[in-house]
Amino acid sequence: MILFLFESTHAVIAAEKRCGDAGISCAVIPVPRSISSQCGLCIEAAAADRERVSALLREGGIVFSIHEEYVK
Amino acid sequence: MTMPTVDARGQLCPKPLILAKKALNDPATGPEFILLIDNATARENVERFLSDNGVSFTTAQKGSEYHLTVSRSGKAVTAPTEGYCSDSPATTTGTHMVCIAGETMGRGDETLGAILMKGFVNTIKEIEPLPRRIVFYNGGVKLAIEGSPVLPALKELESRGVELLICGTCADFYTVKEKVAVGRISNMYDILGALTGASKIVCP
Repeated sequence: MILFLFESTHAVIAAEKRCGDAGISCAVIPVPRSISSQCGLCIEAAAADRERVSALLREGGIVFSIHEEYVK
Repeated sequence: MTMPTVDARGQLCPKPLILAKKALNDPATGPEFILLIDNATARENVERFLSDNGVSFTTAQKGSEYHLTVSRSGKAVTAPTEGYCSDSPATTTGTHMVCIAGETMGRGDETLGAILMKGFVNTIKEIEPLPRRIVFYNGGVKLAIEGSPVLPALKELESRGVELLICGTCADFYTVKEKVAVGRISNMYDILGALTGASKIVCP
């Protein structure tokens, strides 16, 4: 699994909506304590959906970063 | 021919569960047997175990006793009984419950409340002990239906022994009864009973 981190709660909401509308399975979870983030919530997605989700977010003009070493 | 009887009266959980499983898996039991239980918790746990394993049964209450007539399909029931016993040390669930009374967490902006609720539900499984039960009512039932983004988290909780109670009246009101994808449809007696019996109630 990988995490998509955002700069604001509004961005998380927009990102989750875009993924949902595109039928991509993702979960809104709190940012793990070990990772610092400006916003308390983030999106967990399958590593296989990395490019699809990234493209969707870029399309929507949503600024994000990816946390790769996320082991559940 | 009299039906074989398994007497679990006076036995506390997990003993009735173990006796039920043993009878189910014993070819000598015959096509049906009667299980006698005399406490409500054991009855509830055994019924949940049977339902989850696709075993059909009917329950009759006789005074303070419950007589469960259980059908054996002949198929072995291999599922462990541990998670079904609220008093079993093997279970990871606590004695508290979570009450999901709507689609949103807190009051204020609805969109914010919706995303907070998703984050909340997805986090329940990370905090131990897990709740004994989660009850969903009013708009909360929509979190437990097909297509809900938190369905995977709820399924995981259920598989780890958390009982999910879905308000049937509410599912009916929102016409989503056919879409309920996790937990069991419940009524006011069960829901109020569960809330009354919980050590603590966590309300997002």
